[in-house]
Amino acid sequence: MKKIIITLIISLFFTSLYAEEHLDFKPDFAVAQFAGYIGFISTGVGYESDRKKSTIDFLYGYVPAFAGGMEIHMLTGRITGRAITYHSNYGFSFFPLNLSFFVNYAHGKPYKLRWESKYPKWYYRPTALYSGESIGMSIKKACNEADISAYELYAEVVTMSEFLYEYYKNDSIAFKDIISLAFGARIYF
Amino acid sequence: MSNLKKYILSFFLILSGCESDYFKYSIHETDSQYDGQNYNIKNAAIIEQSCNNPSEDFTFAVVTDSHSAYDKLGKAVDLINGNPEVKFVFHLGDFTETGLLFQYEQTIKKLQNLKVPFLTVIGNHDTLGNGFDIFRDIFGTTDFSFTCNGVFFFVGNNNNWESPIGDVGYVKDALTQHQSERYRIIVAHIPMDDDDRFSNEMRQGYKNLCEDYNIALSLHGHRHRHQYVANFTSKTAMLVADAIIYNTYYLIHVKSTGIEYEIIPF
Repeated sequence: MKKIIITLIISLFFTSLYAEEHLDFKPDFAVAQFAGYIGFISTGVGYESDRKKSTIDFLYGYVPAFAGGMEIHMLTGRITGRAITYHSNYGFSFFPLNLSFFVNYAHGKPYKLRWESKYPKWYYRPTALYSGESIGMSIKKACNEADISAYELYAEVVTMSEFLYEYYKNDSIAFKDIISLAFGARIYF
Repeated sequence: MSNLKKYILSFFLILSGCESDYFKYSIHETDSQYDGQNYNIKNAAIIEQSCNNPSEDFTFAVVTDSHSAYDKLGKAVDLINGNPEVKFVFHLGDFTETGLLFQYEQTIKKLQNLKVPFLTVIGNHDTLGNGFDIFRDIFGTTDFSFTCNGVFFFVGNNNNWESPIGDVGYVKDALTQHQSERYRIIVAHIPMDDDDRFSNEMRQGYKNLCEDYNIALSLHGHRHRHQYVANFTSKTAMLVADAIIYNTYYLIHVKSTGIEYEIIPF
């Protein structure tokens, strides 16, 4: 529970920082992503820091039964830091090392945020919440379309904290078993 | 639609056609490469076919509560493979930490290396999230029975807090039909003397069932510590196996003189 509270506080802290910069709460970009443990397709909105060094996204993810074995609905909050930035002519920016941390909430009866009182305290962890990490790169291009100031394509290697922990504990787990590729796009307003 | 929007739409349409192990959509996915294997049903049938001498002594191995210690499970599998006496292996449950497909598949990768058939009991941790559905998709059933060399095994799901459990009438019917076997063994994850989970009435009801149906052994995991109660009832011994995370597995020797257990540390 402490981890969840700390995560929420950090998220709120960043959100409040962005909110001060964007008093109307109007998001800086819309985002859509394929795969990466947060949905078959996930879409949402987010904010970019003034120095363009970090972003924060809020996404809704959907997994149809044909892709995941059953329908899954998820919400994700994600913070991304752009460690390295290259700007080129013609409006291109290249970010070769993006690091993200996200918290994923799965909605539905099988997934528990709190357990019933019959269970002793901390008998189980909350199974609706898992965290994850990713490393990736992106390329951003400024453009002059009417409602769009720039667009960005990104690719990531994503894992879940639970898998990383088990990978650390067991030599026999293959690295490919704990990762997913993900691709996505952001459209800046 | 602008060219930019067309490009982005095309990008996602192409990706959505990709089928690869490298794209995963949720930690809660249930679609497994092992779906439909029905290991419990298939392996119980294999055991029945190969162990059909009602008076022959035999040995089976027991591992339990591996949770996410896949390497330790793998080590036990290697050791069991080196013992030609072992006819089959029981995993008594909790082979996942939170019932995730990833954890199921890591466990199956280890159990598949066994040279003898394996059977799995669903543990309380294995039911979490979508675990109950994953278990049934892969192993076929949580409740089943089989006979090996004149010993009747009834395997059941008794995780009463986490999932629906079977009708006791079904258990009694199965036991009634196998009173002529030399022993009867009940296998379930949670020890039936657990006073947190089971009311006085349930615990006494189970003891009565053991008495009435001549159960020789009540075999369980869950507690992460070894416990043997020779006189659980006047006819029944109860064995609670220690967790494999503490580097232990068991051999159960079924003999004409009785059922004996052996703890194998590694």
